[in-house]
Amino acid sequence: MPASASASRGLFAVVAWRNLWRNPRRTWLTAGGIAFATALVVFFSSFQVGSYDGMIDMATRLVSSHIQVQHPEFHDDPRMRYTVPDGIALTERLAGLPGVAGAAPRAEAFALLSTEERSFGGLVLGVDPDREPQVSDLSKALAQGEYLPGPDDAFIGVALARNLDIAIDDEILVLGTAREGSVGALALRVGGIFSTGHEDTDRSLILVPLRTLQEGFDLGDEVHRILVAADSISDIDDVAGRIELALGEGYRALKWNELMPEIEQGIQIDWVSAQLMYWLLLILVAFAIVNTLMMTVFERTREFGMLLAIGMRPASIMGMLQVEAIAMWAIGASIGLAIALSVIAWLSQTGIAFGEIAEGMDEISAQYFMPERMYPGFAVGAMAMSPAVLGLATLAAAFGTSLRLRRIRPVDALRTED
Amino acid sequence: MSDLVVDCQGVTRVYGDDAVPVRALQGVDFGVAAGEWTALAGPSGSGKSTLLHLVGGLDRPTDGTVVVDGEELSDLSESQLSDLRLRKVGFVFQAYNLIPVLSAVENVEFIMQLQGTDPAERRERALSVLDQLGLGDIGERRPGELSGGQQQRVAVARAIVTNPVLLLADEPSANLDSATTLELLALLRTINEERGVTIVTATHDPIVMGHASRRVLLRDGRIESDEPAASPPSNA
Amino acid sequence: MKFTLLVQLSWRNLWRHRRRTLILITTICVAVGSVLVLNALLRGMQMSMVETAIDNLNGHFKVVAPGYLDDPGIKKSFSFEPSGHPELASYGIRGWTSRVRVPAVIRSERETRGVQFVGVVPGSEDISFLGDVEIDGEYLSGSDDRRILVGHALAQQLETGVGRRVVLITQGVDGGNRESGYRIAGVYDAVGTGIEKAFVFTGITSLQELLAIDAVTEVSVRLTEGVQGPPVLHRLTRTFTDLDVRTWQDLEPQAAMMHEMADATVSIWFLIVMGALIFGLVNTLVTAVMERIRELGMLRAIGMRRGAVIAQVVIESMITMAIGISVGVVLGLLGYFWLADGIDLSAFSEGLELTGMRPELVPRLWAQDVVLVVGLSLALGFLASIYPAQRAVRIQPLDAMRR
Repeated sequence: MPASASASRGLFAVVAWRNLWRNPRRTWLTAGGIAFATALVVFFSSFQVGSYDGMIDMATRLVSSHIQVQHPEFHDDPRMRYTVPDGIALTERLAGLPGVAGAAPRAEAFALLSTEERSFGGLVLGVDPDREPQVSDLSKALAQGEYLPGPDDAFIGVALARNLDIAIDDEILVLGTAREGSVGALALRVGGIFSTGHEDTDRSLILVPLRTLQEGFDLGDEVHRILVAADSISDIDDVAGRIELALGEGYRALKWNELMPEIEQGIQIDWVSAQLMYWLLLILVAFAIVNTLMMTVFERTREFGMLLAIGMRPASIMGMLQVEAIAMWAIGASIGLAIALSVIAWLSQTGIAFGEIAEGMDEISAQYFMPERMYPGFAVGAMAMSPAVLGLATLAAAFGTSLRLRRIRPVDALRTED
Repeated sequence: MSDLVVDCQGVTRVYGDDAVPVRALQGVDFGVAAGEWTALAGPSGSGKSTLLHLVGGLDRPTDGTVVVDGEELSDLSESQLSDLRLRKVGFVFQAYNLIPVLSAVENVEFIMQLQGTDPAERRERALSVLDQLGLGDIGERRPGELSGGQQQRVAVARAIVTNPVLLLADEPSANLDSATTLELLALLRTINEERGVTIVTATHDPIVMGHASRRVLLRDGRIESDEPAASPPSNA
Repeated sequence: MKFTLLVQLSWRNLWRHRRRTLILITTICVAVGSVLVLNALLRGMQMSMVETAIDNLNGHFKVVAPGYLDDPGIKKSFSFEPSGHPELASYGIRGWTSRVRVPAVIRSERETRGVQFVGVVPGSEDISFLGDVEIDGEYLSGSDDRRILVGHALAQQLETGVGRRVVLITQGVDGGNRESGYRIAGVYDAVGTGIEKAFVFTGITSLQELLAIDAVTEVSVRLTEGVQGPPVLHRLTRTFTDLDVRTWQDLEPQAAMMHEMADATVSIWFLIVMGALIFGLVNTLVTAVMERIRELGMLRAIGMRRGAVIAQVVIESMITMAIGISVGVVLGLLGYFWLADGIDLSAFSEGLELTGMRPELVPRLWAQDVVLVVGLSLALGFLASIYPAQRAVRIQPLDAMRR
């Protein structure tokens, strides 16, 4: 009689649901705990995920881009002579690959930067002025003057300019070691000053046209890096794969996480330590669920005895308890999710600006490549984790506590005082 | 009539709100003389329990005055009322109401502890009362390990150990079988006669009514009859 | 005496539902224990960042010429006679040293790099990381040592090593370049390649000779462990009236900010964990009241005052908390001692360098934090008993007659 079976199952759910509201305070307190943990974990992990994408984006756009092609030794040991020989031609080829948003060559040299009065050490980047904006945001960080208007113009970090005490149109002399160990020298005019907000970058970088650097430092047509920007962060692995295939021996393609391991490790540390805290929170709430269910079962010993007496099977009562527990979990989890998701939805419109939370935070966040405004990310896995863990805990707790039913005999139960 | 232990004048008690008032007592005059054993009888809803509660200071009348041992209860604050219950009234409840986490002797001691009696005296008096009630050998057991009759006798011991002016019992026999009920009543009679404790019981039970010296019948919140009981059955 | 009675009663009541109470206590001690361990780890990170900031040639305080921080160069130097300040010794200072620090370019046969060229008094650099750094080769022999120390990472980049020669180019007070060859006395291994690439050391007098000055650019001061900073800062400011005295927080604002954030993180996590705890706590306590309405009513009926009934609820909550907290503190201490040797995070060393942390995380447990956690947890236990106590207030003597 399938019809009556399903009808009785329906009634079952009704009974379970009503039982839940026999003690509304307790149901709400337990569901509240579930909602509390769910909302916090979902909200925080969504923000973490969002901030990671923001960090990767910021960090890669700042200077180093998504993927770089280098001499195999250059990354571990950045020396002048570890070059990519046919830099310009290779850049053209890479720029044509599918999924590539842009490619640009770079040569670089450490040098002493001097004015008449002062000298500082810095890193000179020789860039292709037209291509560079496709792979980094340095050109967009223009604060004064112009971005590389002519062959002898330099584009210099704001802190470096301050240290050298120079302004637009001032002369600057670059002295370093050229390709073959001789002295490399450039006489430049300050054409523009950039300010990225990232202290190290603003203090140490100076950009010059690629050709100028190649000539002054005996590099010929050679470059040190070819930077490649993918269409989006999620494409990086695919694009890197295509680049590997396109390259022959004697080159090495590095992704952002190899170029800047500190970013990926920072993300990992953050993620792992946050997970520890989330689990702690979930365990505490799981304990609360166990306690609630234990109290429920204990209080209803008489009632279960009666149900057994009128012929209900222990398994059915256990099933009813499971339904009750899951309903309680569902209430808490949906409230928690609803709160977290609505806050996330709201913040994904407005974002959170660290500078508004605490003074000085925006400067710090720039040093850790955190964007000025952070937006939460929608990570289904991270969001499902907490409801799922609590759901399993609820089921296990309901099963564990209902084992007590096996010890209830109808007659005993009816006698129980209290 | 200056030796009235309880003196109620025009007592009215209305429960519920103005829309649906439930008049549990409607202008009852009721007095209890020292040494009396009064049984309040009547059907469910007659107001006998309400009257008992008012007399014991568990509840306050909507109208009228209740005087217990010379103290007008409506003049007393909550905590003064607590003290009155603690020092002058002993309670025996239908459901025994012993403290489940304390042993029998500790339950009896407990009330003296509330009164601030010193420990040695407490223990001695508790043991002696339990002895007198024939419970000397179960003093260390907790309520859960006692039969209903035993629990109710411990409750009586707790009620009388402080030598209250008034002993109130609400359906004391409701959960007991006849033999145990008779034992309990014999005990109450002894207390009433030998210690001179004034007793008021609310009850349905004709056996209990038969043991009282006076029977007050309530109906619909009013006293319907008030008469001395037929001569109490001699204790067989 | 009334109080001991209530405690005794509450205690027994707790054990009426042994399993429930045990679960509750377990929850509390897991919460308290893990908050303590997390706290110790966070304090460890915090201290690691602070110590790195202090070790990296900052010290707790640094005395510099006015305007030096905005424009760090040889022009902003000042003369400092070490023997002229005997009173420094009485300030609670572990040590101090003077340095000359100038930006410079270092060149080997193959490569060129920008560095900070620092002239030090080798004997008094025990207040910075230089004091216990691992050195391949030799440490500087004295203030007049004309050799240099370079970092391991820098030596690799320059393709040079102990005993080899490099050229350092810097600027004199007149603005003209000064160039001189130096022999490498030793190669040091610092924590983090950032430092190794940034600093080249030589004897202070030899650098002063090169620059043709006899002034210094900074005096770094390190406090004795446990000495409070502000009073010392005050005395230093009065001693060096025409100079700037800066704290490490001024010098490393990022580290200072991270330090404050760690403080905030500790309290936020405490609140969240305790927030999760309070749901279960209130739930159990209310149930304990509700299932005893008749019993508590009876206590009121036989003459117990309302306040005593409420006190019983509060005492039950506090006893539960107290047990949970004590066991939790023990657990926390065990966890702390278990981790006390430090956690090896060298797999994340680059990421940690970004935050100025060492790759070895050594937890720090401060008595004041333990006291705070214990105190706040007890306060929470009290807070959690308010709602149940409100339920208990409503219990009337008549409730004894129910059922």
